Amino acid sequence: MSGLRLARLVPEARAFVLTPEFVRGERAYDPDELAQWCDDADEDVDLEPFVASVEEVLASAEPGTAKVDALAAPKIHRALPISRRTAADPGIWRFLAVGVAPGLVRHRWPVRTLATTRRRFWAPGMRHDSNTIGRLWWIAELTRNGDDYGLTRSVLESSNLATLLFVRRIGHHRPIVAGFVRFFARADAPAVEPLVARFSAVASTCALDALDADTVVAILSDLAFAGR
Amino acid sequence: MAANRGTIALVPPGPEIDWVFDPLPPSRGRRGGEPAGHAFRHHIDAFVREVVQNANDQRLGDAEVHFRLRTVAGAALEDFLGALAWPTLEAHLRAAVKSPSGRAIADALSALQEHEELTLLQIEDRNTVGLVGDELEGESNFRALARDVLFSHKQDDTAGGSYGLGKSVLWTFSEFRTVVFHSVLSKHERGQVSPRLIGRAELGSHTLPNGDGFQGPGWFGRVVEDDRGRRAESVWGVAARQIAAKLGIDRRDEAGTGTSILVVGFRDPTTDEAQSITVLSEAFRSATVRHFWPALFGIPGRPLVVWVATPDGGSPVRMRDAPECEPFQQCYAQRADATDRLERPGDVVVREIPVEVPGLRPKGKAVRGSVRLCVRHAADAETRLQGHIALFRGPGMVVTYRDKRRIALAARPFHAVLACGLARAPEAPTEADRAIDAFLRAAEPPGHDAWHPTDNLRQRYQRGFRKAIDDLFRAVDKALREIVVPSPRHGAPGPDLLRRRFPVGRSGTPPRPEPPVFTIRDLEGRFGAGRWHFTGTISPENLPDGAKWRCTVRLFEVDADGKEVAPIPIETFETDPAAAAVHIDDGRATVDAGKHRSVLHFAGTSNPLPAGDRITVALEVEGHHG
Amino acid sequence: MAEVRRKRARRGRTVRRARFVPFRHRDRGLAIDVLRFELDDGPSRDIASGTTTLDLSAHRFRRLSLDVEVRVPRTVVSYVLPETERSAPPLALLVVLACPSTRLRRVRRIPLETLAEETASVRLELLRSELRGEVEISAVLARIRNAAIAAPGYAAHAAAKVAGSASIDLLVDPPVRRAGGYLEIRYESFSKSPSFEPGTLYRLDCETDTPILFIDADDAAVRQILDSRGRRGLVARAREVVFDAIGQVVWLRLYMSAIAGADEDGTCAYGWQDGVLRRLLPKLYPDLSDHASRLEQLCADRADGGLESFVERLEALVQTEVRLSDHVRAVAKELG
Repeated sequence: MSGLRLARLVPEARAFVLTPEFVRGERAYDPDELAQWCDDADEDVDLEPFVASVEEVLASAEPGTAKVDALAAPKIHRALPISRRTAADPGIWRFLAVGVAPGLVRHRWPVRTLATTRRRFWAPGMRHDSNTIGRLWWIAELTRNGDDYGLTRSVLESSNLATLLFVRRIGHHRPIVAGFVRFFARADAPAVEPLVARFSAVASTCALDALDADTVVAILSDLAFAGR
Repeated sequence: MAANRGTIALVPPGPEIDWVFDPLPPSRGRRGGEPAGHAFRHHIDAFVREVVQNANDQRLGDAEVHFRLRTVAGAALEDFLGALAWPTLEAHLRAAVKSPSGRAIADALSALQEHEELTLLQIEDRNTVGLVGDELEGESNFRALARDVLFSHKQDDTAGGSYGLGKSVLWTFSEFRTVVFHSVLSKHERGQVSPRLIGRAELGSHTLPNGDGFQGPGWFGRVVEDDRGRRAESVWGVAARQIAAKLGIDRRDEAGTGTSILVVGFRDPTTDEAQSITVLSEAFRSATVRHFWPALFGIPGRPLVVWVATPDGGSPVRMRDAPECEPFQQCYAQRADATDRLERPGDVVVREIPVEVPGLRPKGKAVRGSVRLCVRHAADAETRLQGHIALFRGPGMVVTYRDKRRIALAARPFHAVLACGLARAPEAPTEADRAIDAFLRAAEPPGHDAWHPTDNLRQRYQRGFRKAIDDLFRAVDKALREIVVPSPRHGAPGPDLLRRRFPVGRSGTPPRPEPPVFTIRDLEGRFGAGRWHFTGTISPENLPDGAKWRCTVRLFEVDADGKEVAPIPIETFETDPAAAAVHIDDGRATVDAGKHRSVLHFAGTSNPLPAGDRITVALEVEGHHG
Repeated sequence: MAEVRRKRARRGRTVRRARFVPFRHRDRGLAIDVLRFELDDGPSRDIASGTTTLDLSAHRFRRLSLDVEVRVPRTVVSYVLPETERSAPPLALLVVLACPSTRLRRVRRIPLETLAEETASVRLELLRSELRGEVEISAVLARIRNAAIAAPGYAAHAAAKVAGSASIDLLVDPPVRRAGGYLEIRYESFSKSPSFEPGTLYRLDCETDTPILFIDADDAAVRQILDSRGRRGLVARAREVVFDAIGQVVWLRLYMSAIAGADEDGTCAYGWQDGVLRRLLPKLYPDLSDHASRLEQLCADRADGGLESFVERLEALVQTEVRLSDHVRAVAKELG
């Protein structure tokens, strides 16, 4: 695999590459096969570390669980030292998911319906059914502190929290995510979903950039208390 | 009759050499009446096609064809006519003036008398078989070319023509319908000594002033009379050579075997204008190249050389004598050096087109093979015959240039070649190539200018020949289209006109700015004493006359993403002026304003909210009628 | 169904929404201006006051510096704070630069007490590598701590947003634009890709950033018709009908996809769906005067009847849109 470089899969490739056989894992693509659908990425990145990190994940994480996310996100992020500008291009995540690490997508999310799995290879964004690899990289980017991926791991270990937080604006603010993780780490933490919704409602009156983790924990505690 | 030519002293060729015309009833010449010249149009191209093809078919190796155009006048004319036994011929010509094609003969006779000049065309082929064969019996070159009309007896299966009819073109181009053959044979029957000489006139049926009736054809040669009747047979050996010398068609030794054909009084029957020898010789050159470039400059190992000479000198024809055909020749030449697609002028794309020809009758097997389509991207300047496809097979004669300009309006400019049968891969022809060549030869009509179902096909092949030909041309058209219609590259843009039908990026037709039906303004919200208090105004602006209207007001909570989270029930609601009916239903306030037409102020409060200071609320006011 | 539709069509409707927070708040209380910018080591360039969009998409800069000035009127501070807090406002001015594509937020926090004058100047340093597309620059005034004693009608909680500004847009890249605003159409060899059903002529792929209509390139005879440009004659007529046949299905699918992808607040799963809805909704709800209310009606109808309920309505609409019957008549005329 050495010599494999980052590329971007063009949007129109979707009809050609996301065949049922591919989505179900019955076939894979050589980089050469995909070349006709690829453009150069903004950055030239050697994918050897990425491939190695994916192999580690496949070897050690139990399939179909949030543990895959928690393990994979920091590894993927470290292995892909790309700028946010580059990472904002859905094409590279499509390339990585379809051409380089389709196994990781299916390892994390066993194929149930073709439509949903297609989204996991293709759709940009932070939904749980968006491009699996791009989503994990972005969550790591938004939650890391330098080279410390502690928060990344914590938030991803709770699949539910990650699913709810990162599709909202509040998920784009590291202190808010940190507050949530700290609050829900408590043994007596209430159900996640209603509290995320309540918090987002309260946050509508706030400058999100002014919220620190302590304040978030305080608000969550108030809401949890009020809701009881 | 000879007295009519009082100014010319006639020297007869010899006591036993003369013209003998077939009397009525017909002799063993297997045709009667008019020459078959009317069967297809004759112009110089057809003439050149036929005569070169004849030579090409009769080749024993590297063949040459020499066209020589000259005029004879004065003493030379006298000698010439004398050698041709003119008095006899002229008597019959004058008698034939009344026949359907006699008008041209009459004109020619008076022109000869007036100008005392005669245009002669000699076609000399070299290294060919010659007019071999018995005088009277069997099927032979001799009988096919000089005596019979309806049957072809050519050298081998690749022969260009399937019909004997073709040679009648020779007589059509003679204003006296007279042609003389002088041939050195490659093979002799018992008693034959080359050269051989015989002449033939193709007149309509006619009656001499003495009342003798004639079928039409006449023969120039040694007069023989036996129990089979009076006739003229070939002159042989020294006698033949002497006559040939006087006629100016003697053959030099280096010409080897082959035939010299003399067309007496050459004239292009399709034009009334007299053409100079220079113009005619250029026409011969270009016609030769146009129809034989594959044999002349294309197919390896089958070299054919054609010379055209005038009294000023001669030279072999060259490709540039027909510049419009050079693209075809280059196309075929690059058949082994093809590119994938036509991108630049000069690019050549080659496709093998599968062909299946039916079996021969009665029980032959169908043969599968292929023909070769070569397509060349034309340069801008190469406009002549652009969009045409040259069809040919083994003999290297272009059967036709099919016009395919309509194949696609957006097509790349091209010249194409369809090399069939033995011309497909002349280096190494296959059995299938031979079968296809034979099949297509049978598909050629007398003019050799097309491939289509013929009687010949019907007689020789089992059913399916029609479909085989249709399929061939359909497959060729399809392949040609694929090659010349710009093949969209991977992901090439689709039809622009279709694209314009989907203006998805446009915000639709920004519809006529409809005036809002209601004006809603002064919306205010304030939280106090545990409740939301809100006010606002709504006024109907563009209601239909007499329409009743209603207003609905609701409150709800939104989150940080602006999404609706939960409704906030309205508890009190009032209007000014007081409206007839205000309902609060499910936390929403509805006003039935009826036909009220002025500004309606409203104010209301929500239910008490314990945690009211930590949310964002949205106030929504909707006016509607109907 | 038909009756319902007629009723709906007769109804004229106007909707307005306004948002409120339960405390004193000045939505546009702050004034923000970009004074000047520098690209890489280039000279500093002044910007006219009041500029709301700064288009830098023609420049391939690496570094960008912006001088931003925000004015915080004392009257605004007085309005949003109870009297007890006005002497030492527990507020911070945040100058926020946000790039939605890269999820970047660059925040400069200026405690209001450090502000001697009404205005604050901030220099923002940016790298191209952290930006893509558009960048929004705005200012907010937020509480920095909870109030000791909550004053009714005033924000009391930390981080409460009490005032904001308009935003200034910075274009780093040219806006993504479909060719001329039209659907992308591509020829493909269907026979060479297993993705396409044998015997099909086209395929629309619309669950992606840009919908693409693929057309089979294999049959040159068909392409001849599709690529023809003439306005008259049988070929042109045939082309129109073929386009109609394609157009009906394509429009139907674009519409259905956009209907399914729309949210009440106007966000769509893919950007193109918004354009399609703006085209469709005026036709679907001719009596509703603005996009927001049409969108809302759409969502209500979708909740009521499900997606299937739209198919019948769209069937007639797409036929009239492509003018199928006109074009068939034109063919008939051509054939004599």
